[in-house]
Amino acid sequence: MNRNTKLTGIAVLIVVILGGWYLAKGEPADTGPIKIGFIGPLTGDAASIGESTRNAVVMAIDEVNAEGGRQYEVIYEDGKCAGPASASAAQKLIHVDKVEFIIGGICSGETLGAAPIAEAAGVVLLSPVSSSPDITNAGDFVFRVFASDATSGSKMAETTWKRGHKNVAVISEQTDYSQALRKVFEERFKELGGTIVISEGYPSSAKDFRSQLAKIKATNPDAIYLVPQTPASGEVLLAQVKESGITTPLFSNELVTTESFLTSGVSEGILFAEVNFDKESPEASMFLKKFAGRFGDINANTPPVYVASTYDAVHLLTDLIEEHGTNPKRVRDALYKVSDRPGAAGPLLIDENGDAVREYVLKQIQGGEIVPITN
Amino acid sequence: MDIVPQLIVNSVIAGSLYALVAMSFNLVFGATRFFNLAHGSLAAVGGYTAFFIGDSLGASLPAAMLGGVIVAAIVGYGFEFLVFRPLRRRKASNLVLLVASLGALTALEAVIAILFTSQFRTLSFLAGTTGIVHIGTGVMTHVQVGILAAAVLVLIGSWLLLSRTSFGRAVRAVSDDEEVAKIVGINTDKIIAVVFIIGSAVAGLAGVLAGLDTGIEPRMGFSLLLKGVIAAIVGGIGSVYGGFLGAFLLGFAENFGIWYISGEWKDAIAFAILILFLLFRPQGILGKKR
Repeated sequence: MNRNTKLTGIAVLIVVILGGWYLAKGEPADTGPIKIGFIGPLTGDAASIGESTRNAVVMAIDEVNAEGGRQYEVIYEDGKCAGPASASAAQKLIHVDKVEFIIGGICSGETLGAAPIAEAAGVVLLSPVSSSPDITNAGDFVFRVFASDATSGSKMAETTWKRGHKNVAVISEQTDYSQALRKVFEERFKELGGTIVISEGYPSSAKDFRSQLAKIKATNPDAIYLVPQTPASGEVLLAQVKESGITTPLFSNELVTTESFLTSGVSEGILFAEVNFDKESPEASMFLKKFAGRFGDINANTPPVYVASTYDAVHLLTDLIEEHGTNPKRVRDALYKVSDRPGAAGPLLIDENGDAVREYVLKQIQGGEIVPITN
Repeated sequence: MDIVPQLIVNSVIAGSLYALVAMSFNLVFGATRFFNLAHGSLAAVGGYTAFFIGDSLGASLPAAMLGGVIVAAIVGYGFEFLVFRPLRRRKASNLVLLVASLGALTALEAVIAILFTSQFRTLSFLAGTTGIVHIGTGVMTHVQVGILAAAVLVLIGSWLLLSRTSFGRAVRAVSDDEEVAKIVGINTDKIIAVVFIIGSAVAGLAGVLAGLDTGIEPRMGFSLLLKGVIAAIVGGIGSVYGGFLGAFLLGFAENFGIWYISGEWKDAIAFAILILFLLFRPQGILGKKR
């Protein structure tokens, strides 16, 4: 072979040897920072929720790191509130960044997208707020500190029925979370003997619900069950419900507690079931004060219980890693045993499916305030 | 049958908003012959400027609207001057211009998100308490009547401009054939610049009105643009009157289409119409076969 080929060959050989040596050496395993991944909707229509939950993670990690000991480093990825982006985020976190623990997803679609990948890789996936019933069986390494909608959906159906409404119209967003909640509600309501007179759906980016609301009005329902997820379209939906002159009793989910809905009055009179979030509890008020001090008030599009829950999730994970080490299997086993653990979002119990068990209470928006109802 | 007046009203409201976007898009397309995707983001610029003026400076509705329209016009002209004209000078193909406009759209939306956060906001604080108008059994808010009025005014204004002024004649000439227009001595760059300013101003107006009716968020421009483009193609690409016609056709098709089908199919109906037209009559209803 000629001289050029020989030189190229030697250069390639050197690069390969250097590369192999570097890879074999790897990162210093025992004293480097512990890497945790985060998957949440950092862009898109649900970005306001992604922003606040991300801030909760930042605050929690800073607190943990300030205590000294091994430091934590969080790698934030954008799940875009949907399966595909979340799946590739999980791929990147697990196979490129080599994380073994992920806080996420925020949206149920994100969690469901990342779950199979985390499960196959033996990586702990801990969702702070996803509530789709499908997550219950999504995997041995898949956990959440929030409860399944199977509870809240059934409770809403039972409440609606008990109040004497027999014919209900439903309008829901076309996302994993909303559709799962809608299905649970419709099944339970039909079980009780009720009729779903019409069930409309809308994409997350919709801003014009007027014709669908006209159709709903024309069926003359006793009550309307609204299942929004994205704050932007949810707020427009509720505003247009009022604009179209609908006076039928309205039932919905905890999204109606977001600040901007309360100030603009669009959620007035709506009944919903919410995870029992006691803002006055010592843990909650301390958290809310600290959060407000650092990031300002929780943005008007995010229910505060989401942010508190995310904060709790991070502390839960880091506490378990402190206690049981960085092996995901040991942390997983410890997660199943969590019981009566205090937190900003309330005391936490995790059941045998990796779901949190939380109490749902009925509330109504009256005069811009969230008022608890006793059936 | 009670539902029909409301469906008509809804169709008219949707059609008016689409019309503003479609007419301005067609105006610009007519003169420049490329798909300017950045046109959508100018609606967001209009909406956010109005929000800023109303919220931070405490101004009234007319001032906020005017501000939104003017800033949108300036930004639109900025795109033409900084991005499209240099590319045209280098004889860039329409595909290159389209990709550049997509870049401009994405960049502008990102800037808006950085400056104002992605939080959804409404401009209704500017409008105050609005009243309702009853049309048969249908209801329409005053803001929505305003959108309809704006669409009609822009249509009339465009007709006056295009058919009754020498400037309008020049625009029609450039729209017909840019090279020949240059040869007969028309300053095509100046004409195109003014067209961009007018088109962007109308897009900004659409954004302000959409903000008053539903609300603003950084990515609002893209969905408005998609519907506006469908309307523009259906009515006749390059024709301002076609834009108006196509927009109302689209509005009616969408809202009456979901009368018996579930509302989830609304966008599917819009895009199905687009595909049908592209297959069988790509020049649109009022367009000329090129």
